Amino acid sequence: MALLFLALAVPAWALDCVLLQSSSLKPYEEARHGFEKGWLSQHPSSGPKSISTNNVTHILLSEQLTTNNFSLKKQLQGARLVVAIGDQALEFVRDLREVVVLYLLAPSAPESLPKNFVGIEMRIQPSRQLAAINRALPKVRTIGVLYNPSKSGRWVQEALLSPVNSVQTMLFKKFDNQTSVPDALQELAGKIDAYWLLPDPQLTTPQVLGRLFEFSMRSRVPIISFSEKYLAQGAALAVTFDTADLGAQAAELGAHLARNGLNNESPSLIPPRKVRVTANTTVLKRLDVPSVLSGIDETYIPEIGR
Amino acid sequence: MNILHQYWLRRKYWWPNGYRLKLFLSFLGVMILCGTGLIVLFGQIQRQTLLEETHSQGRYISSILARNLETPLFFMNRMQINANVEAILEATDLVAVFIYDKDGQRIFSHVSPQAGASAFGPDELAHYSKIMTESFPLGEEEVSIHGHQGKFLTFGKRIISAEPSSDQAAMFFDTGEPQESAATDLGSVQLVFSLAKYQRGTEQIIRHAALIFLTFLPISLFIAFLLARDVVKPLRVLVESMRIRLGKREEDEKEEEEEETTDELGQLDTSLKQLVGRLDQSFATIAQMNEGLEKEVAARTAELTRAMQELKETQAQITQTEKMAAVGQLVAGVAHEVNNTTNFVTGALPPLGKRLEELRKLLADQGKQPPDPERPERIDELMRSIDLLLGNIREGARRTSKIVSDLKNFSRPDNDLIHQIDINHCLESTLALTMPEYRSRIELVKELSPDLPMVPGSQGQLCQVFMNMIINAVHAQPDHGFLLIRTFRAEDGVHVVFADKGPGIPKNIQARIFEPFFTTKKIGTGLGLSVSFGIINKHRGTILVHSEPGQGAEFEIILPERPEPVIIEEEK
Repeated sequence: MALLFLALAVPAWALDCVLLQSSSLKPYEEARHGFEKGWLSQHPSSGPKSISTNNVTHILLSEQLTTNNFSLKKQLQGARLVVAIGDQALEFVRDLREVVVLYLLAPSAPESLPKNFVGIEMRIQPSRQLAAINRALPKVRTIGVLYNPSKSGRWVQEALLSPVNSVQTMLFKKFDNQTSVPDALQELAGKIDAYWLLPDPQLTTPQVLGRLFEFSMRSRVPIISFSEKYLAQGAALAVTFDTADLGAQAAELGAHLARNGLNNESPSLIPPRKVRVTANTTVLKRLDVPSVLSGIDETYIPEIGR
Repeated sequence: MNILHQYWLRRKYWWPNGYRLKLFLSFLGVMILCGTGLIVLFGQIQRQTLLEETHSQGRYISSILARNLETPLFFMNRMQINANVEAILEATDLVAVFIYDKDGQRIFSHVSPQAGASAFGPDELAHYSKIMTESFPLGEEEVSIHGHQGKFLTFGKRIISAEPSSDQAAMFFDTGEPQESAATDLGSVQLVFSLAKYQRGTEQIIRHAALIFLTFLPISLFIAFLLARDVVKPLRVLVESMRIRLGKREEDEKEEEEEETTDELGQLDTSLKQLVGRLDQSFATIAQMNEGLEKEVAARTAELTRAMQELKETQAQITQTEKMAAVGQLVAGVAHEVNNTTNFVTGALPPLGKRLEELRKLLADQGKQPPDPERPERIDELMRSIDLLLGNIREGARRTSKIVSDLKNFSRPDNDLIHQIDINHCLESTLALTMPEYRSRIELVKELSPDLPMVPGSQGQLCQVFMNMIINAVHAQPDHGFLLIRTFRAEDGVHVVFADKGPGIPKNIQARIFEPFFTTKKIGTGLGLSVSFGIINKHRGTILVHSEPGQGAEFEIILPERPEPVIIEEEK
């Protein structure tokens, strides 16, 4: 049995960084590519700082056998840096203590984690988002938001304090449960130029989304979402992070941590450094909302037949 | 009236009767059965298809409506619920829509005016509620179908809303997997479809099928009538011809009238039975005649065998007669020859007697008289003279014996025995017999091949042929002449050539010289060459004639060394 473990285990001293990816979802893959690219730029393949290419070991968690967990854990414990992409990967490495763990694209990450964990959060500061909205949709002045204080209270506070608020007016409306959404929306109707969809599970159920998009259509109010996912359903704009850049940011941060290690001053949660704006131009045209191309990073192209 | 009466009397020619009627009625029956069956079958198929279509449509509309009602029901937006229901009611046979909450309480009902005023009274509404509560248990999402009094078809579909997802990632990305979020039962929708359209469609199909059947029935009957007529026509002709063949008499008319009651097949059966009876009789007669014929043939064959035997015997007699005739022609010469040879004997006998007397006397005096020194010399002289005379007698006897032997060889009755024949010897023997005929005036040249092989055949018959050739050559040259006899061996057998320098054979009779009784001689049977031809033919040989008028004639006989099969019958 001991021999089997020895055979399965990869020599720990040979590994510098292990990249543990939850699954092969598109955003995870983009982040991985960004990380690998960024990691190479941090460690050039030639010159005095060159490194061997195998010092980043990529492991796809969804393809691992559950019986292999023990040897995988041993493998991770021997690494200098573990990068976890996705909620599952983070959950898998949560009991690691001796190794620096850098996680990203993990929306379910708990607020308090051990000190050896450093994460790149998925939440972009409201001020940056509002600035991006202003660049893309300069005519939008009043933005309506439905929020549940228990879920999005902090975010609302930050938004209210945003310096860009001098340009834009935020109209916040509280809701308690899904059934109160139509009434809340009715109150916003005629008062707002755009509606900002927050990452709240109560607001992303099919029926609430259906009601929101119906509201958008009837009131000619564009919906600005936190994810590109909703562009296909009728959202006009998505203000979100760049997954590839998120990977590159992780590579930069990881390289720094691998070189210098953690210290007490290191932040445990870092916001994404780049905001990406994607527009559904078809919806914007239908709703007759003017947009500025320079403020739009990508245009959503509907898939034929979808 | 008269025309109509005549027409009625001739009804059997146009009104279906007999086998034709049976065929016609059978066809009619089959047509009606098939038509009815097809109508029923098509009706059933169409009913089934329409029912399936209605079911499929009901399920589809139920699903769509349930889906569309998710949001308005979730937010209890009655206006939107009503709008969704109205949109579907306009386009389909939907007559009523009932929406129930999760506890089974009807919270919405919409009944189309086309359903009828009394169709959805309080009792009916209670009935439908009962259906939903009893037949559509909680947790059941699939559509359930219930018929009601054959007028309506009911479909139920549960309306479910998704609970907020606990998967945070799914909120941001397309995970590609269905979200396993909890579902909330919002209630159910019940759709009542009218079966009127389905029933109308079914009835219409049956009506159309019946109409088509009734349209085509007269045409089919007419075709059946023509077919039956055409099918039975040859049968009638056959029956009629059989009647004629059987020789129905006028007095059988009554029976025929009775036969009319049966169809053509019955009549054909009767006629065939009669025909078979007659055939049996005919076969019996033929068998009897055969038996007599066989006897007669046997008798005739026996007669023919006898006639053949007689013919053979006659032929043999003719051959023998011809042979004897030839011998007759030779008899003077042979007699002279025999006489010559006898002269050796008769001429030697007197001096022999004298010498024997003198010898006897000398021997008697030998004891009585004194010895004479000349006596022994005389005795020796007498003994030498006696020996000489005895030699003459012996020669005469030998020559006579030879002539007799040759004659015997030639003239003995032909027994058809097969021997190996020395052709040269046979020729020499024949020449010896005929020598008196030609010796004094014919120059004979013999070119007989010494290495001639023996030839299987009858010596007597072949000698007869050779004699015929020699005699003919001699007779063709009455004064002086020439005869060449040549034998040689060739690939096709032994060749015997007789060539003379006579006047030859005229061209116009060359083809007839082998005919029996044809002769150019004043004396003669006219059978010589005919018999010779027959003999050589029996030996599988050939006689060739080459002759030019004034340049003599040449007969060439070719005898095969191994004739196959030898046609000369062996004596058993």
